[in-house]
Amino acid sequence: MTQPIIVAENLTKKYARSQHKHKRYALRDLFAEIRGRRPEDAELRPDEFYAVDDLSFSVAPGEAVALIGRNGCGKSTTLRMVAGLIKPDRGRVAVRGRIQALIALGAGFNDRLTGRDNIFNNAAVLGLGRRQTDAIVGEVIDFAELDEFLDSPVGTYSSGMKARLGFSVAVHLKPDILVVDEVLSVGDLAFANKCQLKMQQMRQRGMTLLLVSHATAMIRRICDRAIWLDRGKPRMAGNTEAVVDAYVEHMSDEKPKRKGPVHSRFEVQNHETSQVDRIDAWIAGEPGQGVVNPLGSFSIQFAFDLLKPVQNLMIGFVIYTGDGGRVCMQTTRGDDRLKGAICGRVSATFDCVNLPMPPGHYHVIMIVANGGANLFRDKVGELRVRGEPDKGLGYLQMPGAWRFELVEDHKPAAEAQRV
Amino acid sequence: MNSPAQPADVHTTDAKTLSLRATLREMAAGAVRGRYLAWRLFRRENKSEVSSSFFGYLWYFADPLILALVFVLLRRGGVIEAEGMQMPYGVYVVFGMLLLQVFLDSLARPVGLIERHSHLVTQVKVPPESLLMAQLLHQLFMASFTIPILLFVAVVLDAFSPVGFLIFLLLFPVMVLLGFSISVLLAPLNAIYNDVQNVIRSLNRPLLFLCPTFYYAGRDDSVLGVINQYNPIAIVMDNLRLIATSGQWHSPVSLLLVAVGAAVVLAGGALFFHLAIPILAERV
Repeated sequence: MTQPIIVAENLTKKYARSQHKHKRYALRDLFAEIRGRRPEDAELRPDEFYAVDDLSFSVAPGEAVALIGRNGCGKSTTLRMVAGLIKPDRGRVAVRGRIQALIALGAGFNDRLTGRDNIFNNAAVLGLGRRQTDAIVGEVIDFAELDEFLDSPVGTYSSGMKARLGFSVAVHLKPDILVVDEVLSVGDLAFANKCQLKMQQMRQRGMTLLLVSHATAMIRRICDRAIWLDRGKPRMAGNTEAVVDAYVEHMSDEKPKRKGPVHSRFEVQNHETSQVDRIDAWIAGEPGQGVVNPLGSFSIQFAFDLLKPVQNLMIGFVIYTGDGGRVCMQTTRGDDRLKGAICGRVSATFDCVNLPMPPGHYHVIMIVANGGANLFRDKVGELRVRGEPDKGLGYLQMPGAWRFELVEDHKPAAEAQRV
Repeated sequence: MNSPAQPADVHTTDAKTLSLRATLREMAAGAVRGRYLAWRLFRRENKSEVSSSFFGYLWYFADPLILALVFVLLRRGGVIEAEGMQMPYGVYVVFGMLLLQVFLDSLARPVGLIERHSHLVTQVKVPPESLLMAQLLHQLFMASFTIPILLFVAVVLDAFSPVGFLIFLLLFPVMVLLGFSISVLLAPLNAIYNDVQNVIRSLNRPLLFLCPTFYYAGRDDSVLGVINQYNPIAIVMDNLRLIATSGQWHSPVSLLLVAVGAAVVLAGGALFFHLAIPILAERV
């Protein structure tokens, strides 16, 4: 059996909440380190909390593992311990092979220096010598696609250009293990795709990847396994699809802590609640409530009370994927039937035929607005399109069918004779 | 690409001082491995400083030179006594001011090293020794700009000993080392509490008056005499000034003791710095 390339056992890390205690404990830990007496256990001191709590996992060579979870759940702290940047308070982590941490792009960049100078500085920071940098500098420049700006100060670059330069240096170092913290979606869409393609190439060459990201779609594409962290503790680990699905489900079901909607993934913000009341929504599909067959029909019906007259009423809905990707938006904008002061109970129905969405689980967000100002915007239901999820990618299942034709037959001669 | 058979790099909670020999080996390896990085960081800092200023390095010695001119004027006006000096007052005061400037700069800048490089130590595992080497190179480079001025003043004011000046050049780094070693020892503490830097800043003025920069202080029983007898800055300053201008030694044994002491403090400071970086990387 192959020996794991990363083994983390009972990793625990604690931090203080207040700045004052944070500094006091830093001083205490520093002198404990000097005296050779680090605390034997990770008992919490006053005002401390566990950023990572008793986390164990291992990663096989060539595997890609994602750490997912809400902000502040300990993903980045775990990466830093694996990369050896910070010490655990309990437990241990063993790493075999050359590890490269991409916690932030462009470490060592100086805005006053040129792009070319910064390539050399960044490469040196990441552990390359002069000759090694000379050997990769051409590839780095080509990959970054910044040739014409290379002799300009980096301070004149946009943040996307800086990130491109930083990423280009980092991916040309060819580490055994790449530890990445939310830096794969750099630059414009084309460059982000190029980065992800490069990452896949590096994986094909056997590189191990430990990734922290909120981009669940990318995690599904790149990673073999996922570990879901919740308040520093491992909540679920295993097959990427299963863990990401459970995480996404959990996030969308999570009850808001504050009054008002907080489905941030679905672009829901606090809205004016004093004007809209008794909101009802029905999603009627074939074969049933909230379920539709591929290319089937369904209806969305909304009903609500307008408590005050609204001059420019707009009703609509947005359909999102579980990852927060906006699939479509339908509104009554431009419909003259809703002009004028409207007050009272309103009902609106949208009928859809031949729904062109691929199989999957979707979220329906209802919007009631007065002109551009939202009076209500929140999740009102879910929609499931039945069927096999593997036939295609994207937000659209194009109506139509494949046709096949063998234009030229190039069978080997022997086989042709036999025929 | 992967080489799982190779020995594992293990990160635990254990204090590194528990295995001092291994830590010292790690430091030595870090110094070797980090020498190119040190060179790049040194170049980066210099380029960055020059690019942001029209007069560049001129500012480094403009302030002490202006102050030296003021003292020369005060001396001519009879405000300052200049008894016991073995060289023209102008030479004495220019050497004193510039040597003090070298010390103060070597003390003030490295203490903020961890904060200045916080973006590095929190994101990349760089050998701490490379940061120290880059800073030491920078301090020596900056200090070297005072040498042509000192040479010029000594020659023009007829207080120049060719052999003495060569010895001066060899011993000149001791002044840098003195400030640098104290600063490196304090740098981890400054990363936690900035008060350290404030204390150092508040020492600038008192040191100007407590060191024999613009007045002569003999090693007598007076308060100033006693202070200067044990003040390492005064010991290095007096020795360097006298050897450069006359080729004579002031107190070579004291100078040797200061140099050895600074080297010991630097070694301890470098160890402290090395041990502190992983602790501070999560807190700066």
